[in-house]
Amino acid sequence: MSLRKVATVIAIVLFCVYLLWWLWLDLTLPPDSSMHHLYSYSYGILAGYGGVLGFIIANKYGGFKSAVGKSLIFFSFGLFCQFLGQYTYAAQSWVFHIENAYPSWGEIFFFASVPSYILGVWYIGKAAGSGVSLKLLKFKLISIIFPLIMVAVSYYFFINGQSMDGQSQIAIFLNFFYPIGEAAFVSLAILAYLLSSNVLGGVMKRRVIFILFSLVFQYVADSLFLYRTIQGTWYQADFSEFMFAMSYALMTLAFLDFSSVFGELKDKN
Amino acid sequence: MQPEKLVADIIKEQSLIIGESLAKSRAESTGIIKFKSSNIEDISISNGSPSETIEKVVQSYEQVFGQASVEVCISVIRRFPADDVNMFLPESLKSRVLAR
Repeated sequence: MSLRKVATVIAIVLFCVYLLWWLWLDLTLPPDSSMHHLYSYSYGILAGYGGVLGFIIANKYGGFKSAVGKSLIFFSFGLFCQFLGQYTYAAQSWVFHIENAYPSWGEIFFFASVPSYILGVWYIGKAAGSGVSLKLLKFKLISIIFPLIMVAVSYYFFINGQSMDGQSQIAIFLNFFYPIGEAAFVSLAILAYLLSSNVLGGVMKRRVIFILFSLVFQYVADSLFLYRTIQGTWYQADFSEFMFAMSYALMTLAFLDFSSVFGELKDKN
Repeated sequence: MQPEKLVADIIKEQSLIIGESLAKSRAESTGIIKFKSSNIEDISISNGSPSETIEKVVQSYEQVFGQASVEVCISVIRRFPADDVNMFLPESLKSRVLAR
């Protein structure tokens, strides 16, 4: 069995463990159980595993010397930051017994993942031919208006009317940054697909769509997490956290798909 | 101008998209292009007319990103004066390169 297949099996097994674990928690245990706590602080391993794999696969595409390589590096860095953010919170809980302090050191990594994803989308869009459509005025206008609409929608749902009394300046800044930054990367991901759809083809088409979809899925998970936090209904290992686990697994499988297509194209030689 | 220069520039540009290893590998898959050294521009063309070579090179990259890869090749060809490259171009590319 090739290393790629072993890596894929590990990713699928890891995801299945977290799927079955989440089902067991959701169906049988109260939300404040210690197993919910352990789930919430451990599923980030999926992001850590995916991030490391992504860096290795990016190297095949020339790393920083090519658009696909750069895209995979930035997606991997963003995913790895999710892992570091989660485990920083876990370390605070296990070592210093501080629970869900916000903001905390973990936010440095969650913060860093947003621009990293934006750069990842930028470079995959470049490789997929988004620039061809951008020569037309119609698409130039869409590429400005669409992200603005997404940011406005995020502002309306997640920021507008929220009380920020008594919160630190960093917390207030992050309360604005996350919904707006994530709206920016998801709108750019959708735009990258729309702008490249008339020229994108070949064996990479499915791979590009898959990696962009995994990013959109992560945005949906984060929006649900934000919504539940604002509503006061979020708890550890709730459905939003399962969606995060799934989004990390999807991005990991998207990286592995890029590895697989690299092998296919080389074998055709 | 030698057709090698045009082909080498196409391969070099594709390497900025998919990486040097894959860009070289796709070029070699045509069966016409060989790399004489590790330098991506150091190529030789065997057994093929310039237009056939360019057509096959462009097709080998088309398999990667589809029309997006072809557009990258066209942008490279357009950097050269039309009079210098027209004689090397296959009919399938000529009209599209000229439609600036």
